[in-house]
Amino acid sequence: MGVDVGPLGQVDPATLDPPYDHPPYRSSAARSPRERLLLVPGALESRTGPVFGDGLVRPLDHDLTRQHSGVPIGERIVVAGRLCDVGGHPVPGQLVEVWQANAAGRYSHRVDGHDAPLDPNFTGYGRCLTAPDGSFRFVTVRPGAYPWSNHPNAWRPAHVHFSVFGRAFADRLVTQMYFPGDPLLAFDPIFNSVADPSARARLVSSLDLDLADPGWAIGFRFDLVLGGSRATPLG
Amino acid sequence: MSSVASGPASPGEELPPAVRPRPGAGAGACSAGPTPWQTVGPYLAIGFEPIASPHRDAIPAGSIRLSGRVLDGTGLGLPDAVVETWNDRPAPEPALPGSACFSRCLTDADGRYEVVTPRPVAATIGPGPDQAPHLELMVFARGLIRALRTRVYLPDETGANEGDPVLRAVADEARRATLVATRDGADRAAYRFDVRIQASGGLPETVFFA
Ligand SMILES: [Fe+3]
Repeated sequence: MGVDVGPLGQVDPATLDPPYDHPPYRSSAARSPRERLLLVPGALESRTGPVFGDGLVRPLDHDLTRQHSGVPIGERIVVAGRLCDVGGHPVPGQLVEVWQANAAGRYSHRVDGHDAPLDPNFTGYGRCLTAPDGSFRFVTVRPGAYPWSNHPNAWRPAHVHFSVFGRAFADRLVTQMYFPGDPLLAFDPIFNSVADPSARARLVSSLDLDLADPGWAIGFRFDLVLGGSRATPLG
Repeated sequence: MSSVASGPASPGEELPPAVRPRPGAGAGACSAGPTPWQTVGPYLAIGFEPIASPHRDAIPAGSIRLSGRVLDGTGLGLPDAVVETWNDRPAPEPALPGSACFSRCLTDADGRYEVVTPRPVAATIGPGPDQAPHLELMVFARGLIRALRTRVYLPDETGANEGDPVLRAVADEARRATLVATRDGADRAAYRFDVRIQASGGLPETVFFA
């Protein structure tokens, strides 16, 4: 006892980037907090997080194209990058999970009513642990865009969902990776919930032809930087 | 299986500069700033189910069962949310498949979740000033652009709760109570904790942390 942590701050949820309440994303209305958020000083934050042993991840879990007896339809891609903290230090040994639609834009999920074909050879889930240099690598097919009911003729740009753990549970991050040059990005309320253009750009992968054998797959590089979830208090 | 090592283009084949493989790709520094959050969307079960915490009938000794509902601003349960809890430890856990102090549970059609986790104890929280035993809890769902973070304190830790610096920072008594679980029946290891994303049914919004 006796360490002075100072007063606990408060954060207006509307000042976060992205904010919880983002009217163009309709379902955020009833699912976003209205009260101020409590900002806990670092000294009171948990410094630990789950440790996922190697037994959780099997050798082929990172390869979404080899989880069934056949090969999924679609453009084969490699998605690779590094998990780092805001200081640029790699974060090794952490669980990275991805999930996505198939090449036709359909999820292998009972509530996905989009009239596009399911692929019996594609579930769309993968996971791996980051290497000592923080790197991760997935083999998958490029997901298709899909319609949703947010507004008339709304289409989600092609994306891969990413879930990552950091050294502390408070570093937890769930986000989406997009593809460079996608014309749907300009119309997407979820992508555009991030107001800062440079932060938004960090959600877009970059073409990296050096990530796989020539002629075998197109590579997209996507780095993840933890530590942005805790807001700077603005008021 | 194809090798994954990056290789040079065929000898004599000159690539235009725009598509020339960049040397050292896969190494190098991470990009400059933090990656922003994006929602888990409606199909999160594909990504989140495989390490879901099993629902167990009996609560193991030294563990607690925490259950409750996640409710939106209309008072309806979220049928498509995931609740994760983390139980702070002083040292890294042994690297088991999964993690004994981490739980993940998809909500059911009524927004109900249930996790079984080691009983939190004050001694495992640190450094910093004394804090009462608690769990970290996060909610992920369609409509939530980022996860909601809250804490679960235990009702039988009255003394420790009174001195807890985070609970003390919540001036409003009714809202402070949203951070404290309630006993669930006669079982001393069973607790209830509802998460109200907005005030509803005459009850206040749960306190969330930035
Ligand atoms: Fe999606």
